[in-house]
Amino acid sequence: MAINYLEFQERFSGLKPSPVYLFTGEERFFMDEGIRIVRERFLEEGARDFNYDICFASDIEASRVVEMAETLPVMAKYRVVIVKGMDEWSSKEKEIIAAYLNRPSPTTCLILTATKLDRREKFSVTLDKRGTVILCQPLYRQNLTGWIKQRVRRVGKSIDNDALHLLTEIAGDDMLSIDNDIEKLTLYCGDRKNVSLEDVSRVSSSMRSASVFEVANAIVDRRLKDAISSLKRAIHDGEPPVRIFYFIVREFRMMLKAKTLMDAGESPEAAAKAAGIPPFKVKEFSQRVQKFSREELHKLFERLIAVDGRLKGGVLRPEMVLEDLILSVCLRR
Amino acid sequence: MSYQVLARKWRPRSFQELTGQEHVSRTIENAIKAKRIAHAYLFSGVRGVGKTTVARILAKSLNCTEGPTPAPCMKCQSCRDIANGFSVDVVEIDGASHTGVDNVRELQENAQYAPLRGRYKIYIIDEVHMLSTSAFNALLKILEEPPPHIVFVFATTEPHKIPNTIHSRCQHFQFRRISYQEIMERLRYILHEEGIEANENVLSLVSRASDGSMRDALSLLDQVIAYTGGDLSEGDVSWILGLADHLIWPFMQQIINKDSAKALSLLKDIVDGGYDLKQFCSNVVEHIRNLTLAKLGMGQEVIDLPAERIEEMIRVAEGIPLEDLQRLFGIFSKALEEIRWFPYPRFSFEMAMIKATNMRPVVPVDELLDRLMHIEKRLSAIPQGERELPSPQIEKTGGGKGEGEKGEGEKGFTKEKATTGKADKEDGSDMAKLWRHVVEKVNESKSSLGSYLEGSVPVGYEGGILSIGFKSGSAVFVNLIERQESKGFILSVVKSCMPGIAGIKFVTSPAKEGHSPAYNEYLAASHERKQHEVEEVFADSIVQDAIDILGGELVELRSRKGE
Repeated sequence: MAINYLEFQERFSGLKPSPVYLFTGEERFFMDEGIRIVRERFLEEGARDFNYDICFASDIEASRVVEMAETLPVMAKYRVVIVKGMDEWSSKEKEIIAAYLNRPSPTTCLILTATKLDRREKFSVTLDKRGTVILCQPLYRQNLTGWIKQRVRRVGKSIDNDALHLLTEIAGDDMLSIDNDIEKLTLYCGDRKNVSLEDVSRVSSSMRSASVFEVANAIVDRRLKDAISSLKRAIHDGEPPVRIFYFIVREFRMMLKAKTLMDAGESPEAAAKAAGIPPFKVKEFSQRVQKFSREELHKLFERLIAVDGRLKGGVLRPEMVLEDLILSVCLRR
Repeated sequence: MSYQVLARKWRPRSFQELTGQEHVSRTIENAIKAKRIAHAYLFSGVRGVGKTTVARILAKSLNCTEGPTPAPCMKCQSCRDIANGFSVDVVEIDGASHTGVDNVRELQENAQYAPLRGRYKIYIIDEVHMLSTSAFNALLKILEEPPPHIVFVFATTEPHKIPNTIHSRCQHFQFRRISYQEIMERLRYILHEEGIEANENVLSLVSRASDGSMRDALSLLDQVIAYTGGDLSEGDVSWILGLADHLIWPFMQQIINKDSAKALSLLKDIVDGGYDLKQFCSNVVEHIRNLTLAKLGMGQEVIDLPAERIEEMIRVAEGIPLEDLQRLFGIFSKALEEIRWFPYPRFSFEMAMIKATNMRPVVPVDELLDRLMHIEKRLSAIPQGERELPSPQIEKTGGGKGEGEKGEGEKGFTKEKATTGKADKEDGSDMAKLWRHVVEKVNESKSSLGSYLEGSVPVGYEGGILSIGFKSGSAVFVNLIERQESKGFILSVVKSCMPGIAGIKFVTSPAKEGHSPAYNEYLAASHERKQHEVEEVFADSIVQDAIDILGGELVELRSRKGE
């Protein structure tokens, strides 16, 4: 049978043991977690070294895996054999596994992973009949926030809404990275029960620094001092100036997009939404948009192009180029 | 014992001694306390900010006989071995010279064995981004299923070169550049411990030159101490570091005083002193930037200088208008660009300097507008045909539209001129003035293009198309300007200066005295509209009330000034 990961997670403890579990899909976080859940159920820690094999399909032939699977467990009820990346096998090798599945060892739990699987293959058909296929698809962005909250709760903490938003902005939608960030955040907080915006901006520097967003926000609000000092912070955090600049441009692009839509008769809310603003930021954003005329934004883009050139090809230190931009936007020159 | 360089002697040995990486040390300390050690850590950041140092402290903390503890004892066998680089359970690998898949396979095999003495086997791989793709793939397999006693620490200056599959399986800590203040503090401490005297300005020079790297700062300090024998003076230090910092203040003083001669002779000293002109120019730009920020009320949070220097900056900046500072910034940053390409950098620098010392003070827009109004008033007395002088109306500059900020009470007086469809602001001489303004603007951004436009005049306006006349000998320029990108650029400038104009046309016939009939018609219409506007405002009830209450007299109508 084939089953979605979240469903599998919920129902697994009640399901009958299956001789083989195949995790397929792109979300590696679910795969790792799924393997852990299955392993914990079948593998007895005391006899782990005797009854546990893990290998990669690229390093091993299928017949060898079958041998491992047919070995009897030692001082335990089950053996666990894991083969990762089985899409690397040829269909001939997969046939060997399929043959095993027709008469599987009742004392072995075979766990397979594959990023992609052709469901029409003979092997897949056998697998569907004999084992459990778990589909590990990434979560949609809107479900991600709920998932983060749940992960944070698991270690007995809670997370503020704005912190949550920033975290998703910073970490993107790679769940493994987000999970690492959550771990870091909750460790950083120590005994404190609540994860705040400040914590995220200090710790979650996985790929982007939070100060980058502060620069972009401050410049569109024309808060000169804040923009200059957060720029300094971002540079200190090791942010490449070009990336800081990208986020400034992104902010103005969203504004121009919303402004254009509003001029065409859209409501501020609808325009903000279309520009990609999350619901709880819409109000703040539409107030911001009011402060710039469309003409002003257009002119600004000409300046941004010039700044881009100076950043990439100039001799002036990049942070000074950006400071100059900040001064000109904030002082309206 | 032989001399140990400062950077090694003062390498932090515990999390408490670590400078500037609180987010890392606190998280790792808590992880050790909570026994939630990750299998792999990725430390990234510029050189000399503490990546390898933290990796070693982490190794000590994990394997200390009294641990795992965030505060390793430093006395036990394990701590001493790690500190001396003898530990069998801590393997340091230089990723830059062990890039191949075989190296990783070997590691993979060894990793299976339990640690010999400590609790964990710790692999520290420096410059991990240098590994080959196949080496990364091999590494990924260990990371996916790491033996429980293994901890990997990867250190790199270029985290973006690490494959995402590896990256997402590591706890990534981005090490920050160490701030100027933090480096100052550490240098002060170390010099104190070493029994060496140094004033703040010396420390400031070293900290700034280190660009956020503690190791660089300490190496520079070593160099300086070796040269001076422990008697650190500002002049010596800037000489060793190749900085002409001590000459910047006097130089800037001449620029502010507008004394070209003295500035030129100072420049001669700089060149004769063997200082790098590009570096000096860059320092001048930085100095102007600091003055600007000081004038805007910003302090040590953004200006990397000792407090008393900043106070001095604020005092100096008080006497210079903000606009001038920004213009100076423009002049010298442009010079900096030119120095790079120009075969005689000294000449470009001199020219920039002369430009800076001869900079005319900025006339506030209000004042300019007043003067122009005055001229216009005088001219309006002369019949239109006899006018010789242009009576320009200055285009509103700065502040965009500014409608949003208009006070309620002012609304009756200030009538934004409608810019619907036609350019209704200009009459003939205005047009010439505006066109000159356009040429200036083009000159600013593309001087070569601007030079082609010199001597051109507007000769007609019909159906939204502005005709620009060139002298008959200028046909070659017209051909050049007619090129798509040049014409497009000019048009964009025209549009920004003369709203309502939809296109431009270049004609090479000699500029005629008179205008086309359509243009004359347009002028007449525009004049009439202006007249109508004046009447409308005069009839306004608020204006009438104002006259009644204040007992005034209506003299003229002006459009509201820009911000």
